[in-house]
Amino acid sequence: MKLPALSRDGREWAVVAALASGVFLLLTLISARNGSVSGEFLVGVALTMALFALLALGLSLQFGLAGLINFGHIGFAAIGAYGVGLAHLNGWPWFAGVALGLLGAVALAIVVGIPTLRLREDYLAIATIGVAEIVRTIALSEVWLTRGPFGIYSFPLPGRDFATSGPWAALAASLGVVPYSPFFVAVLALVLFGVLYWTFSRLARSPWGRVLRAIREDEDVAGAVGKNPFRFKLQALALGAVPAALYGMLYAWAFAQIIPALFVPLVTFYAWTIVVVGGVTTLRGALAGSIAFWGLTAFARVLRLETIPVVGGPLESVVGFLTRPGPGQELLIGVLLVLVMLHRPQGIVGRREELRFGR
Amino acid sequence: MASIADVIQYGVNGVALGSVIALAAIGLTLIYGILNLANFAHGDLLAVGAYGAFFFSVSVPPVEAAFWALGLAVVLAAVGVAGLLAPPTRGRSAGSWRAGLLEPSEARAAVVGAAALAAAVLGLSLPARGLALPALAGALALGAAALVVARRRTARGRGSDVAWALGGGGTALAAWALASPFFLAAALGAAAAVVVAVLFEAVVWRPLRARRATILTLLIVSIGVAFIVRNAIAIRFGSDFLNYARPLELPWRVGPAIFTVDQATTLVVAAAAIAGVHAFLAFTRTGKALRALADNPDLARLSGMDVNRLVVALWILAAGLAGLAGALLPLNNFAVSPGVGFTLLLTLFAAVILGGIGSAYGAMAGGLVIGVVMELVAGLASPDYKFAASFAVLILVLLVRPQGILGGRAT
Repeated sequence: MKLPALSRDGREWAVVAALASGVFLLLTLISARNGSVSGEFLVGVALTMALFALLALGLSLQFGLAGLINFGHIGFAAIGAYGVGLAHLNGWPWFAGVALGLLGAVALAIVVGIPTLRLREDYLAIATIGVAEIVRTIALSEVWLTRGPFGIYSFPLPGRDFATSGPWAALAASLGVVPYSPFFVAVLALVLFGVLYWTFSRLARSPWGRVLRAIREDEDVAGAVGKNPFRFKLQALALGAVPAALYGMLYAWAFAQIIPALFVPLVTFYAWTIVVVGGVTTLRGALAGSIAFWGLTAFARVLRLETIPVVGGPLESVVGFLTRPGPGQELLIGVLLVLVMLHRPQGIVGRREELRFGR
Repeated sequence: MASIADVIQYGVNGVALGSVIALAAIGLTLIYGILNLANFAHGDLLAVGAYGAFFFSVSVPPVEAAFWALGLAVVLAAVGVAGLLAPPTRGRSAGSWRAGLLEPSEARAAVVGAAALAAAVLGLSLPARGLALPALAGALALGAAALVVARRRTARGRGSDVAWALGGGGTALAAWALASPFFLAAALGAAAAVVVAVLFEAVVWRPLRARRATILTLLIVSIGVAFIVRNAIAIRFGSDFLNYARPLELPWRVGPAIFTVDQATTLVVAAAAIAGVHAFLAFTRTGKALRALADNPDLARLSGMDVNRLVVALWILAAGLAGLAGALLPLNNFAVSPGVGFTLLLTLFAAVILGGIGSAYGAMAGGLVIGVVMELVAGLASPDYKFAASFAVLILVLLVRPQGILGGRAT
């Protein structure tokens, strides 16, 4: 049987799908060989992948399409999470919190964008990281508003009843996964990623997206044909803040806690590594990068390298060190960023020919 | 309600902190202006300086610090001797910027500078104080001799910059070692920052320049470099705050303000370094060439300057100042951890943008302003907002005067 030739899009989706199924199949097989397949572990890995794919999707839109460097992405996530948290603290319904978080993140993006987007392109990077740190400092210091370092805990998870009873529960049970909020949030994150991916890729192909790409390549030319670069860039920045705010909310719901320490700049750079590794020229890069990055750390946890004769012990300690949270993992992030940018700037699923701006 | 005296005291603390920020910001602004690189790894060079100084002064026994300093002296001497033994470098035109073997006067300066350094180390490590002082005096004399040797005319016309740097460096090290072992450690910390910066120039920045990477690519790569440097430090020294114990000394009272000895040291060192930077940029060939490169890179290249060689000089200057600033941080009640570079990075960018990108003098002024604002906010409002205050200044400048107070080029 001859398979029909795949389009460029189809080929890239095939890479992402192969990556995802390969990672999870291997994880299951290795766990089985180790003696125990833990649904909880697999769901945890999928949850992290889905959440970070969502977070990275915003960067992918802002950088890949519009050429904007946002180093303060986690600030928008913090606004999203604290929107939900403040709603809980003040006794508002959860959808008011969601609205507060989304509108707050978009408003923050506009506030950061107005002074910086008219200026040279690197000012945005500096200003966004500064604003994200101001947001975190306020969350940490204004205890009356946010409970500061004590954090906000044990708030009702929207849809938890739905997840633990009803059709989801039966489906999850038949898959051998105990229904509990991480599974639900992982599915929710994937659904939201799908919706936003579809919306963003429609936008990227629309006249609006073409103008943004034109601005990315040459702002003066785009301006000369009557497009206002500032307005388009501001729209892209605000739109990219939406998935970040959703990440913040979903993270809060998945782990039932909101503390300032969740919104340190490091998380932004996890998302940047994911976008760069996955590929900056396509929105798919966010998903591919997230699967690759978190798949890598998951493998390190199940592989049991120490059982390999002779080289196993040292190998396990090196790999384990580089993939566990802490200096080792951050060192890996740095090395990945530099090596990919130097040697494979298009990433896993990107297109080199669309990379004129990213040499 | 804070009294006038309190406000003056916050101002004094601010000037001391600001002079450290100014030192570090000079390199950041020059790199930014000349290489078009908003170097997010610049703060981590401060961390290298701080940890280097810590390594050479506190965590290792003096004998080991002396061992490292002697190693530096031996390398310096070997380079000098090799330069002396090499066949004469005839045929190099006076204006040539090509990298090559050292000029004879450079080689001699290196040998004498190395001897000065070695004598200084010997003086510090000798147990008997009676022998130590003559040894240090000898070091100072040798350093002065290195400077005299460096003044000799060379094929390049007017005493080469390399000879000046080698002779001056040897003298400065000897004089500093005479004043306090801390200074030797600070200088070695700065040297460590230089080594790191030149390494990344060779491995990362030069290849990216060769393919004319865009400003956005450089930004992302600099984040990667920052992560590598920061976590290499964390792996070697641990992630906790440094316990950088300083001896307790009585502060000086000047009018209503109180200066600690450490603050005075900071001000003197920063002032000396800034004077040195001014002399370098205004009077030396390399300094003038760097300014030309900042003004118009294409014209500089066309007029036959070896840009790669100049960029190495730029990194040495920038990283040396950053490393020195890092070594001075603990003197200003600044908690140093491997993440200190990130903590300070935005503050440095605030100083750079306030002063105008590419302007060394703007960065000095911007650093002082930012330091004073930070200490005033910390004192009058809340210490929690010390750093947020510098980010707020940054955003305010972007809104009101994005080209900076002294800059006219940035758009």
